[in-house]
Amino acid sequence: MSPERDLRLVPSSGGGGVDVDVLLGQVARGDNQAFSALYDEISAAVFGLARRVVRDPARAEDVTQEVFMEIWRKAARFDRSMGKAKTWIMTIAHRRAVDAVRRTESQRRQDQHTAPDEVTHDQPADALIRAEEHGTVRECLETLTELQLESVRLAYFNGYTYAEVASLLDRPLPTIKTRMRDGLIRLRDCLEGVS
Amino acid sequence: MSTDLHTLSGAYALNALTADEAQEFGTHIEACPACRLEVAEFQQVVAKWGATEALQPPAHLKSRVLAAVDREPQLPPLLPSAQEQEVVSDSEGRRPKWFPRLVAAAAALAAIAVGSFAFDQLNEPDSELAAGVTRVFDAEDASVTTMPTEDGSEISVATSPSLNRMAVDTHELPSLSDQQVYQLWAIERGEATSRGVLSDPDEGAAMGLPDEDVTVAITIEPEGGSQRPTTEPIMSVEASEV
Repeated sequence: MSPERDLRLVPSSGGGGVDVDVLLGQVARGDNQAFSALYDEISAAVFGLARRVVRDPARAEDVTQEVFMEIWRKAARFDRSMGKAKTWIMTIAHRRAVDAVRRTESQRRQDQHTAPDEVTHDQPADALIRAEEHGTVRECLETLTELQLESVRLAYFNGYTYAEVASLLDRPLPTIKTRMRDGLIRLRDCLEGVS
Repeated sequence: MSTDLHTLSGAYALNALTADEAQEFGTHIEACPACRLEVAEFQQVVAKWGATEALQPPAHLKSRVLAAVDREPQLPPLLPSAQEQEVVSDSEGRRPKWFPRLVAAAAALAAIAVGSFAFDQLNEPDSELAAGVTRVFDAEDASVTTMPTEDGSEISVATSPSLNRMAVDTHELPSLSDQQVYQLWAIERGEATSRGVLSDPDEGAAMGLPDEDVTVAITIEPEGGSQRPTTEPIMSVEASEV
């Protein structure tokens, strides 16, 4: 949760990070150079998430492009009272990735379910930062119950609706609904406690 | 219902609701600050989680994105002071209550051809608008429609494809107080743009022929005009094809 960590989450060149919130403010005023710097700063996070959700690298590139177009168009409408720029961008990225997945036919989604989770990271963005920040997230994920983790994971990384998750895990809808919320509460509290 | 709805905050932050459910919940949290806060916290949590998957995109993607952005306009900020000024600015939902009537009125009206959409500077003093208006009404191929306004008077609209012009004759409109003006609007896909203040209704106004999906409306605004319509239009017409 410390600002320092957010700034340095995915640096472009291993040096000191650039403040995504500051960059987004400059982008809102039509600054192309700031947009280029913003891309360097956060494209790995956006592309990685898109790749994980849509799986196909070419489609992940399309999603990434869509995300940056939306950032450019809506930068002036970003409401910093609602959270950090990075959260805003990742929220856009996830929504667009999920939209892309839901546009595909059911067969494709079936394939995804039977072959889950094996995305190779041949080019890690920054090993040191990943170890620090991402290790914390992974530790916190381990505090979730099995059902909480599965529910949240299938929704977030596979783009399933909670009704689809309930069907996959063979549990009642209200159970999955509350497990998702409880899981996120536990994750939130753990991350707050760590930082 | 609200207790049940509240528990959807987790699924909402995970984008795990159907479009209909997400819309319903989105409406719900507008009136529920606690839900909004919870969703914001969840979104921050999953953003951190999502970032653990970071992966450098191929180098060619950056030039593609920068080139695409080069052709893309930016949206203006939403002005915090002006709830009412936003009435027709948000194409994703909030529309003024007069909007359906406006569309219905537009559908019922005779319509106009296609063309570019640039209104003249209506508020320039000593402009030649009156002559420009007459020219459109007098054109050989002019088609003229007269329609009643909400306040009981009437307005005539003329279009001339050969001149590629549209004109409104507003001399029947009642005089306004010094603190009020008539203002012209172009409404396209829910977005209202001012096309100028009618400095003198007796002179009418002329403009380029609007695109077919543009609605032209007139409202009464405070002196100097407004950024967005703040009152219901006294007339509106859609420039759709005949």
